[in-house]
Amino acid sequence: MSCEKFEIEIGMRQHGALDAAEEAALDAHLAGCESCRAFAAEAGGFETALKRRAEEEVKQVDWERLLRGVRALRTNYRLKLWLAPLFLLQVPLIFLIGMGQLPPREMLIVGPPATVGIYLAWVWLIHRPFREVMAVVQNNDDLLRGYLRELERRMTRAKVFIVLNTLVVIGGLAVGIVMGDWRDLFVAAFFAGWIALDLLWRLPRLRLMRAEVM
Amino acid sequence: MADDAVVARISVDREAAFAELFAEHRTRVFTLCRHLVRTRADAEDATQEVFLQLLRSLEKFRGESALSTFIHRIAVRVAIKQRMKSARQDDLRVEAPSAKSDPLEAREEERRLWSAMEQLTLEHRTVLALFAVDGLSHKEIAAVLGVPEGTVWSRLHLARKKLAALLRP
Repeated sequence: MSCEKFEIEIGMRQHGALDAAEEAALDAHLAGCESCRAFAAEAGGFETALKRRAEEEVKQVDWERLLRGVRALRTNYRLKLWLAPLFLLQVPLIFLIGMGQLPPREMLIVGPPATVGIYLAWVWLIHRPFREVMAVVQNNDDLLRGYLRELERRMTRAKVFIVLNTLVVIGGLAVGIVMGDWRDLFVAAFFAGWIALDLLWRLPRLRLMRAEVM
Repeated sequence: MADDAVVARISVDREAAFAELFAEHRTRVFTLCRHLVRTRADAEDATQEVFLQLLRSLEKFRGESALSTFIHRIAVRVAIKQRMKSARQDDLRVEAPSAKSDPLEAREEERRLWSAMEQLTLEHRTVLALFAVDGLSHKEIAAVLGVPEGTVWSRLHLARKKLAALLRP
């Protein structure tokens, strides 16, 4: 019988997962196998060493400060939730600009912060970290593989957005140049910024995360 | 505190129930996070984030698993995220835990162990980290990872083999 099975059982015994018959079989094998005895001696101490070192650090943790930090983070999150609608109110301004209801000078002043506001609201309400963690945790399947699948899905979504946004940019530029309408150029610029965000930040970040998991 | 009692108490006295949960699980959560991230500061940040996620999600806890399993799943996920964040910030410094009272040789051995841990895959590092947390049985570890118990044992075995090979002179 291969030693691999017994090497696995060495680990199981150290964590109390073998029954009496399995322990007896393991002891019988160890009595005659030097390499498994050496493995048992070598590998048995890792978890103990990790535990011991972490115990030292636990003694140094200021738990009251940590708990205060959790409450501060919660307050911060609630503040964001209240502020996000204020940014969303910028959306009607975008439509007003698009319909030409405001004079050009005011459009130039209002447009950029309105664009930033829409993006921030989208990040806070749609891509906030909470959803990211819970999506993987609440699914009871393999946690790590689930995380990898989630990363792959986000990469596919980012690539699809790049393609769609590129089409919008090309369309906006074409219409803007042909019709001489600056509003289409503004829309094209907005979506071009989105493409740049995906290409230069989101996709590289997701690739780095996937490399870490694989 | 029993899971049902916690969930029931959340709606009555959220702050007190959360404070008790924090006191009960903080050591294990911190220990788990410490084994998965690179520095102690990251471990503290991850621990705070775990309890923040817990505070925000307790009402959504459906009781399909034990509460401790739910908490440890959040901890693994948040620790991984924290690790990614520090990798993106180019903070690849690995801070091995140490006690000032340890002799130099013991500290050097601990540093080598932590450096070797960094070279394991995420799967192997996570299973070792879970086994190094007090009070987690192999059944709970399997539930946290969402894999069969056999998979847990084989991952632990491979992690130990890899670590032993890395530490061999």
